[in-house]
Amino acid sequence: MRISLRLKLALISLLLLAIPYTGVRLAAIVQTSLLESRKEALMFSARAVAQALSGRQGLFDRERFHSLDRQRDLYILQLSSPMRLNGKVDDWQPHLNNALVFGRDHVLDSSEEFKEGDAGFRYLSGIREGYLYALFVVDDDTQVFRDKNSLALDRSDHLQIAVEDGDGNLNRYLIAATEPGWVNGYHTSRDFDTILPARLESRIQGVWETTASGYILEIRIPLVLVGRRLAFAIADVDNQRRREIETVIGTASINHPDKIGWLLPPSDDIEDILAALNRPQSKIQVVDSNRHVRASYGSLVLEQDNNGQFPNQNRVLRQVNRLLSLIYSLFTEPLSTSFDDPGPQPSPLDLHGIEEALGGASLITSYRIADGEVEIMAAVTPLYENNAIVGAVVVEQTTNSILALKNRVIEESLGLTLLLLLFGGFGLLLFAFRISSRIRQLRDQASSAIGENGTIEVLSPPSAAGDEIGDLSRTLHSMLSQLREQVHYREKMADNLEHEMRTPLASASASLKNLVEEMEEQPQHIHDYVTWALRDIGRMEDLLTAIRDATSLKNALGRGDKEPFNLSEAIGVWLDFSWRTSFKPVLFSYNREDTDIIVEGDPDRIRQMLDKVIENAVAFHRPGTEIEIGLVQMREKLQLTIVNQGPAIAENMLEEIFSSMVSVRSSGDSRPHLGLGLYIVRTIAEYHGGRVSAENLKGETTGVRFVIDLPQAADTTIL
Amino acid sequence: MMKNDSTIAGAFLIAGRSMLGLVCCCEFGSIEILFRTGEANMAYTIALVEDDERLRANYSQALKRQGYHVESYSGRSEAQAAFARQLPDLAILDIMLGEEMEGGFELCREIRKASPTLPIIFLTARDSDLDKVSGLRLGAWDYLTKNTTTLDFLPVRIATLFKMMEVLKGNSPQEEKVIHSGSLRLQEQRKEVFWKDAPLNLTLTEFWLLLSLVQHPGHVKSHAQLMEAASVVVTNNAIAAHIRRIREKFRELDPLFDCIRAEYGMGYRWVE
Repeated sequence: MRISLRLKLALISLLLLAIPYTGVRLAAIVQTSLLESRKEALMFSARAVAQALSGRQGLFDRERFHSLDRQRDLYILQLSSPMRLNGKVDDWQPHLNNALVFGRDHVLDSSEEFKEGDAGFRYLSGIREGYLYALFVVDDDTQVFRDKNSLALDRSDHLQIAVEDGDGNLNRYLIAATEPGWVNGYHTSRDFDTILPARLESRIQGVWETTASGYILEIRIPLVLVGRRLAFAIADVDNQRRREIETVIGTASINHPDKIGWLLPPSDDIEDILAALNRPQSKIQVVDSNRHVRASYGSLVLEQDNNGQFPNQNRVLRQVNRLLSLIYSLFTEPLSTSFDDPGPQPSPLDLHGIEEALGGASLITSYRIADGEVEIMAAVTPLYENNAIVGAVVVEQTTNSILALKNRVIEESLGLTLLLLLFGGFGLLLFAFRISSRIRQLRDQASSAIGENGTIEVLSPPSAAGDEIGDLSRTLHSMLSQLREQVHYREKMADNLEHEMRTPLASASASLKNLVEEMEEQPQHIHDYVTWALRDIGRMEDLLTAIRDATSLKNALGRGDKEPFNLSEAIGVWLDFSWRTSFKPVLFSYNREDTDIIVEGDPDRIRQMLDKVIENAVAFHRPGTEIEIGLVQMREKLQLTIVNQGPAIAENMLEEIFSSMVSVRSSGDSRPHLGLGLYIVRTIAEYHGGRVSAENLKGETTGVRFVIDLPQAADTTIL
Repeated sequence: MMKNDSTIAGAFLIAGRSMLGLVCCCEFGSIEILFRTGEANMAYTIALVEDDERLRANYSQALKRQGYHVESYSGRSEAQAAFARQLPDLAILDIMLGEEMEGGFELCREIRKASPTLPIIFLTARDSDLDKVSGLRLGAWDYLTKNTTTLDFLPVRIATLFKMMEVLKGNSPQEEKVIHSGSLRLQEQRKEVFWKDAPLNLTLTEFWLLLSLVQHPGHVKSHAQLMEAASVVVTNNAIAAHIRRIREKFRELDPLFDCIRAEYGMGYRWVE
């Protein structure tokens, strides 16, 4: 297969494609080291936050970080969506899964063994727009409503609330329903032993809805009634007639004000401190020993960056960019910039590493909010006060910025590669074209230097370029010039030889002729001597003529006239009038077709060519055998064959015999021979656009067949 | 007498001819060398300019035997000085004289200045010089290559040229024979050729070749016959070269000239 230089260089330029691989590798290294430094930075800031918080005297006391009771203390949730009191759980939906479950462990008072289905409930509460909302989803197999005619509030299923107001006064409220629907709270007696007298507190409102497994109670209390402490309990009454409280489940009983738990809202103080330590695109959370988030600042959500977008560009560029981003996407890691930053949770922060941090260890952890979402890295470190762990600091950051950087590196290296490939490849291609065209030029010069007749024509000047191709051009030029000089010298030598020899030969023969002429009485032997001397002088002259003709043949051919003539008939004429008489008694046969076979050529030269071939055939033929001449018209050419029986030519000489000065004759031949005959044959055949070859006969008899192919005349009309 | 010599030389030619140009001259076994002293030549003066001493001596001896008065010179200046004193009746010039590659041509130009009609025969060792003689139009009447047969034909040519001079001078008793063939008019004695009434300047060899063809229009003259007619022994290729030069001269007058046809390399014929 022939691969041009251009193609090879173009293929080599594809090696530039290795550059993006380097880019990707580099990006991976960058990513790793960035992640490492990011981890360190995160940990550092987590510790800084912990340090800053630890240094505030009394802060944790104020914010009740100490002696927390998981059973009693309540965390306040900031509700994100507007609430409607309707006895349905829809409004609470986002937080419903985080509802606290009260059951066996929360039984405050019970007349008998707690059974599943005995007033266990799920509880949710939160603040919104000046109200404390609370939801109770109660499991109760037997609902007992308040008797409309009875003043008693605690003789049916009811909710007990104990709350300290802003002035530190403890108030107790009961909510019981006579039927499903709107309910209001009742403020009970200040006396802890009795409920009554109670008065309606219409600011505490609620809706009581019966469900398949019990009931839902949804209430709200204006925040003016709520201070720092709060407790509630669900009292279950199952017997319609007896109406005794069987079970009380909740955070604290209203009958024991000392056991009322603290209400723990997010700490403004701590959040102020966190705001002062603000780190962009990161979220700092402080959790207490219950793992509840007590303060949170910052957001993970990035500002929308426009790097990936190309606004205000025309359509072509957009298409190009789209195409490029398709290519980029093969190499880059997709990153999602849109995700939901989980807001404050009512439930404990469920994060790997929190337990360890509360146990005193600092560590880095990472997680995904959901599959395929952004990865978040978190540094968790314990929060100390007086060498006691009171909580933990969590600093979180997305890895988006790192991913973005990595992608940026990959994209830029890809873009750069494409550019390089475009320009570098183009450059290489140009270079390849340049080199290959120079080499082509050289090749063409070399092939055109040798003319149609094998002569060396005018040489084009050598290249002046200083590189290897220039050297080659100059070498070629000097080679050709030397060759031309040699050819010239050879021709010149034949010319000089002729000039220098002819005169003495002519003089010698003139002397002999004068001698004969002026001798009165010639004895026979003297006459013979003179005759022999003249004959040998003639032979020398013939040799000169032969050399002369062969060396100047190519020039002489150019002066001849080509004309269309009937070769078929001409061979017949030459055979009858020339060859048969000249070479008696050699036998000839001539196989010719009936039709005329016209060639365009110089008849004198064609005959000269055939004279040489016939002469050669006669010289080598086995006496008594026939020399066969054949002429056939083939498609677009005609073929002349001359066959003689006799010794075969060595296979390696079959081509050689047509070169000049090559002869395979045995030395016994007395006639002058310089090996020019078949050279003349080839030269004349080629001058006529034909070619000549020799082959040994196959079969029983040995012999040689000369084949001369000649082109058919374009114009077959003879003048 | 000269006519007789020419005929005999022609006979030799036929005996010695060969159809194969390059091997032809091996057959010179039966040469009959026939030279007779030509006392009829009325002491014409021939100038022979030839730089090869022995060839000069041989040729001058052979010509003297024919009855001519021969003055021989070895170089151009020597000859030129002699010609300034007295012009010969005929000049035989070698082209290369000593170091002067074209000394003969120079000399020819000098003679032509002095005499436009003096017969000049060029002798050359190289075939290629013949083309130059023809190309330069030096006014040479004939040219011959120096070879082993030159001396056989030189006297014939000289005699022919002197006879022609006499005809041109008008003191020949012979009647002029004129041959017409198509647009060609050929005056045999005066060696003058006209194509469509325009004079054609041929050398003696060329004239004889043309004459041979024109005498029998349509008949093929073989190379050997043509050699005989022109009193030369040369190769077939040399005959072809002569014919080519004749055609070229005709075509200078008439580009459409096509009366000399090659016949399969056997020879040529004249077509009216």
